[in-house]
Amino acid sequence: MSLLCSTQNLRVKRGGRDVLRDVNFKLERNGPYAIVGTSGSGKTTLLYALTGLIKPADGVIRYGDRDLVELSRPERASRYGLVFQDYQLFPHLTVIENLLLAPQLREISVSREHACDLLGRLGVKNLADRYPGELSGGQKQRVAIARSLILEPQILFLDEPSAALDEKTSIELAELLAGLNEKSQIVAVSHDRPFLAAFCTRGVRMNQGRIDREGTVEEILA
Amino acid sequence: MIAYLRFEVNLLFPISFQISARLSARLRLVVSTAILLLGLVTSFTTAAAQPEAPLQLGLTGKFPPLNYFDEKGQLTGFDVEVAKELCRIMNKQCEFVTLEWDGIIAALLAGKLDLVVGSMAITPERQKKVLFSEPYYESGPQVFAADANLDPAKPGARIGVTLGTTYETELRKRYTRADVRTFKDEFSVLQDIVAGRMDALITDAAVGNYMARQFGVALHRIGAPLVEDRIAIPARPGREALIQNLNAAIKELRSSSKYGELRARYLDQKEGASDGGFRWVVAIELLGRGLVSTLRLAGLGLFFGVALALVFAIGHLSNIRPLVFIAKLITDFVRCTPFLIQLFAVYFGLPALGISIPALVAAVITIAVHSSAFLAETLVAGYRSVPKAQRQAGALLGLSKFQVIRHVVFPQMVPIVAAPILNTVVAMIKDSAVVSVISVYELTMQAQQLISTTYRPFEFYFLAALLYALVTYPLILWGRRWARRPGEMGAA
Repeated sequence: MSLLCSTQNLRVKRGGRDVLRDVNFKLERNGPYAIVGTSGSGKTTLLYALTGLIKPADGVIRYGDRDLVELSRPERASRYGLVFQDYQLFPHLTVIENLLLAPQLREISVSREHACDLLGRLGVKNLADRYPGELSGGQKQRVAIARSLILEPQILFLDEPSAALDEKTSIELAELLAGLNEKSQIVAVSHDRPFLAAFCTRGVRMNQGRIDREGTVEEILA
Repeated sequence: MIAYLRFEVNLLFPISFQISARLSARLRLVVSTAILLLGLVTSFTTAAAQPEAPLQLGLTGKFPPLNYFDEKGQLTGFDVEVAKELCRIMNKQCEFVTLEWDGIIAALLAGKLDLVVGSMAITPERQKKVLFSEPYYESGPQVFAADANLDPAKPGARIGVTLGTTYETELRKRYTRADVRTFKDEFSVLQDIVAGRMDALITDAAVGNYMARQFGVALHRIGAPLVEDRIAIPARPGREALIQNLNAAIKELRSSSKYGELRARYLDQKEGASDGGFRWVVAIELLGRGLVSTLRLAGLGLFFGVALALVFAIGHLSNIRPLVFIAKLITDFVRCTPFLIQLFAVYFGLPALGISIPALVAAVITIAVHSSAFLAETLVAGYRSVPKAQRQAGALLGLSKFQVIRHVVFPQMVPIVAAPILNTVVAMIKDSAVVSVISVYELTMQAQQLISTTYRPFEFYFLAALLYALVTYPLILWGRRWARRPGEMGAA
């Protein structure tokens, strides 16, 4: 089975200090994937490096057989999407406009019906014409997920998706994400063990800037 | 230079265009045919001679009854009518250019003017710099006061005089203990006399009479004229032939009956100059025209100001150290210096470096540079107010840098920057009033011209203020509307 994403001896520096060292990360097409670790373990730094938001000091990041640095913005967007912890919806656009902005500007044909269907699958179809300022945190998150999925990326990264949710909603989200994994490989970065255990199959555990365990979700959460 | 002066003259006299616009189509056809025929005839008769540029005649237009704008906005007065007669006798085309008195000799020497027909007295100092014609009339400085019993020799008597006139020297010689203060023009002194801030003014005997009548204030002659001034027309050295022509024309005019008529009409008249009464409709139309010029001036300045502001803002945000430094240095410096000084630096400073630019261009440049510093600062603050993660979110969706700026950052900046940008626009429309000091025609200058002939400072300054507010207030309201527009805004 081919690798969706991999890193080789990845090193990231912040303020002259290594925050990631010798990271060799391998992601295959499989069940929902977890990146777990305590705060400060480097899991969010890994996520930002993988998505090109911060530049590594050393090492290589590959998507398939292509080096991340060779990929154009549109090429990156077809390989991965990211849902920020604070969602970063565009506040001046309605929900449906948030979804359709990138397809329209990039001349990818996506119909309004298709966008509405996607919102429907995420349970927020009725919010299409609202502005982000009028939504709850959980609703914004679902819209942000839809905004990424409309471009049909191979991988969907989520940064601390359960952080702002209560227990009940986070379990609902886990079920939702498990369902979405068929089309896009879900990768969730979180320190919320029950949440990850509810839907992930495999993952890595980060500790002090390194991957210290790789395996099934039971193994890494142990 | 000539092109600029013509432009200004056009700004001053667009009434002729309006009149022609009102003519019926048939009449226009007749008129244009006549003009065409006339043009053919004159071009035929003067075919041998090179087409000559019209003579540029300088004056202030604020010195009634010698030269001033009448209630129709037309330049008239003794100087003006004499000059027209002289041009007719010399068979020359002439155009009038209005500018401030204290810069008029400089403009003559710089070649911006051919002659000055603004009642200039011959003095030894001036003779060192310019060539004078024979005098076209004689007059003298006369002290006028509201109090008939004022003694100008009394210590501390407050006497006002126009800066750059011969009167000041005479005044200081004669009344050594008087408190002599200089003003921009006679009218400013008169306003201060009415307001009780000044006791007396010194001006040409004929001018004082006229002002007293027009203003409806009792001004009394105090003593006899100080000296007899010989009023003549200067040209710059090297124009001897022109002065000879002029002298012949002056001699001819002074011996004609026309000269006596003009003297009687403008200088020796017992009633007010034949101004046919004051008409509000015309005055308001003139102010409207001034407003249009103000808007054109501010609009042009702001257009270039926005362009320049974008350059500065990009410099600020470039993260390239030297660029950031230069952009900050320029915008901070401009923000920390007065608009008036910047205007003078451009208008008077650049010619010292060998770059001579017309007043209108100087005004537009100054408005552009001044506004750009404030606009750039606003744009930078607006850009920074949009979180970096918003740009990252756009990039992650595959949008280009430009698409992110245009569709993600810019729409979020608008409600933040709209009000401050419109405040800058409003400030520039108001501050454009300052450019009248370098003789650029706009609303404030038009108001001053009206006041100098009608002596109605309260009415016209108030009306001018009202016109400024009429334009700027909607802009302020519009800015507020933008600022609160998306009620849909909120934490995303």
